[in-house]
Amino acid sequence: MAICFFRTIILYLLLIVAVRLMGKKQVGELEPTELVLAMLLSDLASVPMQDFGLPLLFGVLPILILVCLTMILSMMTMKSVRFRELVCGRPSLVIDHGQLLQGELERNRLTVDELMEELRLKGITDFSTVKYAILENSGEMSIIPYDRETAATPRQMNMTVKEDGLPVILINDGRVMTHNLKHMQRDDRWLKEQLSQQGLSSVKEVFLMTLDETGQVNLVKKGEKG
Amino acid sequence: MKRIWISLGILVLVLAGTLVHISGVRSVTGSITDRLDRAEAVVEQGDWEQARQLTQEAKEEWESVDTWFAIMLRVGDTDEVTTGFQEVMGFLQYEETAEYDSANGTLLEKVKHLYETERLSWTNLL
Repeated sequence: MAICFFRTIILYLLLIVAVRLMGKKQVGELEPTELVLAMLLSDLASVPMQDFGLPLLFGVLPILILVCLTMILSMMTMKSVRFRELVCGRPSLVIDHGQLLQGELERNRLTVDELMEELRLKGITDFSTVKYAILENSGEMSIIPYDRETAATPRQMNMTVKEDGLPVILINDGRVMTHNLKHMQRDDRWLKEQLSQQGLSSVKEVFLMTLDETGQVNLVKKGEKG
Repeated sequence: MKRIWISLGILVLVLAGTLVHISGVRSVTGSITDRLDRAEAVVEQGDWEQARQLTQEAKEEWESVDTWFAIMLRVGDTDEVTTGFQEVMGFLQYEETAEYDSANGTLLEKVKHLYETERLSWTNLL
């Protein structure tokens, strides 16, 4: 069992190093530590599940050790910037003021074709119109065009626009979301008033009711097109 | 920070548990092999009764840790020791010297193997 303990730690750390060396493109949404955990967990669980000759502990113990190690490494990456850089890497600037940084492309093993593909996916065909392109730790490409290449915002045009705010669901298929109702500082009496204004007597008749920060109510009755 | 300490605590507990387990396996397998060695020695002197008693004691000691070993060790390894004991007890009953020597030798190796696979060593680790 102690061998299992140390082997788990060695292989886990080795896999993290391997994932880091594979580069950002392989990582995806997860941190390297989480990706390695996800890679290992399913296999670890399936081995004692299928092989009755192995005690359950042969699967349980490594899983427990991996979860603890991931927890420790995740917390350490939160606490220390240097450690986070070591484990997760740091974002790489691949286009700077319309200039391709070939060294960074090479360092991240990113081909021009892949870069152009990422740009096209964002609707950009000419890299010189890009102010910054950053390969994030997750492997995603953040592309920031020059301001002159983007649509003007209301602020740039000195215009005032009404903020709609985030709509919150108050009634979901005839059920009142009491937590949301409380969060929006409304009560049952207010809800009944709203229903009666719509000619409804019960929440059961409502398919969806939302309320946004400006107080705008949106209601869809059951059987009605929303 | 609390999560780090909890995780570290669990890791330390697991490590301590595995070390206690190794120590327990060494102690039990050591005691069993000692009895089996002595049984083999008294068979050479023709004292079959004493050999039966020592082997029976070793078997009882093995049975007392049966559940623990079944949880912590490979079932195949522990099953082999259990059947090995039955084989040795059979040869002791019929006082078959050659067969007993062979079966007891195999059983001794299987019991020693349990500790060998568990102990912390570079060979096992790598």
